[in-house]
Amino acid sequence: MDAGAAASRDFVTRSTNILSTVSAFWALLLAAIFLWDIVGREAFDQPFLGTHEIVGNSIVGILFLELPSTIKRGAMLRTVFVFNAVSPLGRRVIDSASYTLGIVLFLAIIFGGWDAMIVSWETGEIEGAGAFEVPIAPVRTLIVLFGAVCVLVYAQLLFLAACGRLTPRPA
Amino acid sequence: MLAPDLVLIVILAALIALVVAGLHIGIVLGIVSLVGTWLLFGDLTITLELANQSAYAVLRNSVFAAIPLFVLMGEFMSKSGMAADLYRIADYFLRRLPGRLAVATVFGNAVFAAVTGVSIASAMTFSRVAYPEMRRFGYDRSYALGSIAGSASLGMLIPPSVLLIVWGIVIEHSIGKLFLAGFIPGIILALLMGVYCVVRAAARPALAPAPTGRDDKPPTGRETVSGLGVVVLILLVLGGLFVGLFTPSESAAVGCAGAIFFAGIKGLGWRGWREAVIEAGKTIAPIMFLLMTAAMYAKFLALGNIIQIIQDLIAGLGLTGFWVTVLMIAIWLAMGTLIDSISIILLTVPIFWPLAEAAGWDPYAFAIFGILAIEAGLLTPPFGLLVYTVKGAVPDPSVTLKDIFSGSIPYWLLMLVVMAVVWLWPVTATVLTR
Repeated sequence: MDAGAAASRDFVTRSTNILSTVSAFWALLLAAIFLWDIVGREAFDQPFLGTHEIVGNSIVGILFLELPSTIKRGAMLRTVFVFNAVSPLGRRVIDSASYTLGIVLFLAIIFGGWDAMIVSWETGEIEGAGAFEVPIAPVRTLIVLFGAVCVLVYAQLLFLAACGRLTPRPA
Repeated sequence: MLAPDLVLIVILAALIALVVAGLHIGIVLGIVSLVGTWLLFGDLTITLELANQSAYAVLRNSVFAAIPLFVLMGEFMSKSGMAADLYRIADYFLRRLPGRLAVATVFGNAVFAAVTGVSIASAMTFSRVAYPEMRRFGYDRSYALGSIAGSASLGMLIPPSVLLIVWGIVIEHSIGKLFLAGFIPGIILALLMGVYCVVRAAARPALAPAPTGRDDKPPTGRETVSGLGVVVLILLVLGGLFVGLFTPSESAAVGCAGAIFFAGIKGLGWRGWREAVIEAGKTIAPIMFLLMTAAMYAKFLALGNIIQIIQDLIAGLGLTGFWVTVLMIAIWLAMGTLIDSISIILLTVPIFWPLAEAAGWDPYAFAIFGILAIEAGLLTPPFGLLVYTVKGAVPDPSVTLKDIFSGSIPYWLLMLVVMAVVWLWPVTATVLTR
């Protein structure tokens, strides 16, 4: 592997790990929001308004921040009996097919969500009513943005597999 | 545009071929659903809208928060060593029984199952703690390993359970009631497993020699804190849920906070804390991604009226409800040997549940029946996931997969027995849901 490719892989690994850590702590924050709501509701008759809106949008955020690292680590769920039985070249072919279809799927998510994201910013789309309103545009943007990061990570893996620089071991 | 029945054949064939070949299951689910939708309607806008809706709308429901929070709770409990302490407490109180260390493994797993939502963490912990202890006192290797792998399956049946949450999301029924439905069959299975350990050890004492010269000390202060912690967490999480104080997501949040509190008391430092959160993140994302793409698959099935086509096919074959159920069991047991449990639920339940409903199944009894069949698959060759987990975690490289598989067979049979109980007497699962 040349130095440029190694540096790029290292950069991608580090960046996706940071996103993954942010995502994991975001999940922990959800517990705090629920607790605030429960204690407020049961003890002081003052629930935390907007719990469901914040939590719902957070789940999408948590997933899309974690996905690049999951892809990079090769942690997507799969069956392994054929994968483990074939030659290293066979495993490269199977992984390359996964990466290619992954690129297509995330491109579909990006193109499918693009117009809705633009409209959401233009119209100031909100969720919730009355005392608590959550803007929707950020979460739509997050899907498109980190969908694009997933495409880039898959493209990098595909490039490395195609060049023979990434030979997957049996899972 | 193609006829829906032709699209069904093409898509199901592609789905099976690509999953078996080892492509990422979530990616395959998403792609075949999008391609299937495009073949049905010949319209790229509808296809892209399916991708957009699944990514944006499906997961934005607070019920999904229960999954990351229960996983976080389990990670904190594992990292703080509470499962190991539970094992030692169970061992002390069961000290007069034959095969006490194996029975302690089963009951330790059963109690730990009531505070965690996944099987793998239990299998890893008990492999590291219970196996060396059983071997130290001369327990038969296969008998010891079977008790660890077999009883780990209780984690998915006794609430809270991530599998039951996923099942509830797929069939759009109450997750709280599904948890209640798992309770009695879970207790029955745990008791049967415990009885098996005792009877086997009593019949062949060489399998599990009574520990001699062992100083049975009562639980230490540290172990007592763990035991109390687990009791408090069970009361908070399941009690709060069952009396209607919390939703499933809220009870997961309370459990998560409780686990962090007890982990702090037991001295889990910042390093362990950070590891627990990051490890949980790694478990959460593949599950949530599968849920997202499975939503594409479910919508594709609905758009193409695929369920009706399959129901017509079954009716054309003249299969009765009994044989439909037998067919489903066979498919689940076969898939269970190859694919992880959540993928199996997401692939099969959208199709199986309407068939089961038509065959007269109660939704809650059917869920428990299905979870048992899928979990049984995790113990069977060639690729029982729990067996591989135990193999990877036991601190003894001489252990073979054959040792674990052969020790697990009785537990697999006991799971089939409980399946038969739920099938013949669905009331065992439904009585608490009424």
